[in-house]
Amino acid sequence: MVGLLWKDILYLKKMWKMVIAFGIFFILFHIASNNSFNSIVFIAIILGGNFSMLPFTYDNYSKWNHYQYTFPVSKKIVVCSRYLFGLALFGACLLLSIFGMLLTEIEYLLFCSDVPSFTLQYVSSELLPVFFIPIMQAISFPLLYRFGAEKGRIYVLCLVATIIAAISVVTTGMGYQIGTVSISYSDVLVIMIGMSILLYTCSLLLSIRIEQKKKN
Amino acid sequence: MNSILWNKAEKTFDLFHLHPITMQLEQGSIMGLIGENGSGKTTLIKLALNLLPLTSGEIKIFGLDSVQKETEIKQRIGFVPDENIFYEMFTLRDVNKIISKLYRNWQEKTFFHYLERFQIPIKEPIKSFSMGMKKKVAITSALSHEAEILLLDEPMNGLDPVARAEVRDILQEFVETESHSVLLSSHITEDLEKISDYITLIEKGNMVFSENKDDILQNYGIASFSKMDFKEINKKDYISFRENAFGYQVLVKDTKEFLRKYDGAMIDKASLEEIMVFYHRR
Repeated sequence: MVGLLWKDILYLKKMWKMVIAFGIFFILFHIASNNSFNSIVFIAIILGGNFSMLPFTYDNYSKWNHYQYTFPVSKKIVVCSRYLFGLALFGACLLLSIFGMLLTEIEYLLFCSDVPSFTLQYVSSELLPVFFIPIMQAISFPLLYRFGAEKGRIYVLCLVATIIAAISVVTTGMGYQIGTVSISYSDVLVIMIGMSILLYTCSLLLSIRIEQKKKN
Repeated sequence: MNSILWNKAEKTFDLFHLHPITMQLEQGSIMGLIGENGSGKTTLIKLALNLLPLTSGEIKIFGLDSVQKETEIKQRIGFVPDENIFYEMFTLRDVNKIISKLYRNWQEKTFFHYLERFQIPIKEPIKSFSMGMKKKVAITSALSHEAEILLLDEPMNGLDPVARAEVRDILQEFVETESHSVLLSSHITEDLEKISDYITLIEKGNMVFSENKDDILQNYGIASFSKMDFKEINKKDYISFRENAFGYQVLVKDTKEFLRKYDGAMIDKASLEEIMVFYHRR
């Protein structure tokens, strides 16, 4: 498993120039549009979402997804290593978001009089979006395993759009609004963490099943 | 003793059927797989690696079931695919880092030794390599984890004559250890004639023969006849024929037997390439 994980990490390492260029572009864009450093959280989400799907494309392109089984690895190990990579990426993005949050705090300290305090609600609201990464991975990985990188990506986009639309319709219909008394940011964060763990576990088991059923 | 035993191994696809094959790869030997494109050579190798599930039959490697003991077996097998499988952005240092974690017996020194022998740059990304260089990387990887069996799918493709000679030498060095064996498919039958101990011919999903190479080259022959004489040859006495400007040529399976029957017939030795072509014309 370590070798497979290494492969994905090395690929990420090779992408560092793109990551930095992407980050700089977003920071400049947000500064130019008078937003603060908390845009880093959005950079983290986009990076986390994209970079967890890209190895599937490279695997497909180099036919690694087929020939990796010439090495002494089982299908279960192959899938587990990809999910572990997804988790590592999520961890990195979470750290990046915390870093962004601290930068925002410093920015406020230097340039603003009204400095937001580190309340539970504030921290929850800042970190909440990052948990979309594991949820996104949990949704996309089984589809990418089942349909391959090209088709899978299209299905992922369709499914995510459908889920967002469904949630939006349901929450609007029920009159929920995040940040109001009825549901706090910290509560949503707890729900998101729980959902992430549940979805990630189910997704892992589903992907293993899909991969084991494949006839290559 | 067998390194690999295909026991009635069969594979059915929508458009192709590899008929039940029973053959064996003996320890300490090199077996060459020949046959036209799409005849089933790669399928046979992929079945051994469990990259494709068997429709029926079984494959035993080191006496172990190829499906049940898959990972254990693969620790002891080196495989060279017919194409590059590594991300093209990777360097060979990266490849070393990845594969060294996959094999228990990975030998970093051996890996870099072969790369040096093949004169392949280790700091350049794979995308800058020629097809031949990529092939050499695959061969190097297969040789660097103390494998006991090498399975090579078209390893000579894209290699120049010098590199091919070098690969032949390496494979022969490899089987000097008695427990080692090699199975390689190749269109370049000249290489197989030089290094193989056994030859297996696969034709349209059927195994035509799997025999000792020396016996094949000794027994098979090409007899030439004028158009008149050819009419007198019984169809059962040859595999197939081809017509040329001077008359007919037929592939004969047993030259001695043929000469006993057709005294005075002109027979030349048949090369593996000619045998392959004649069988295809059947």
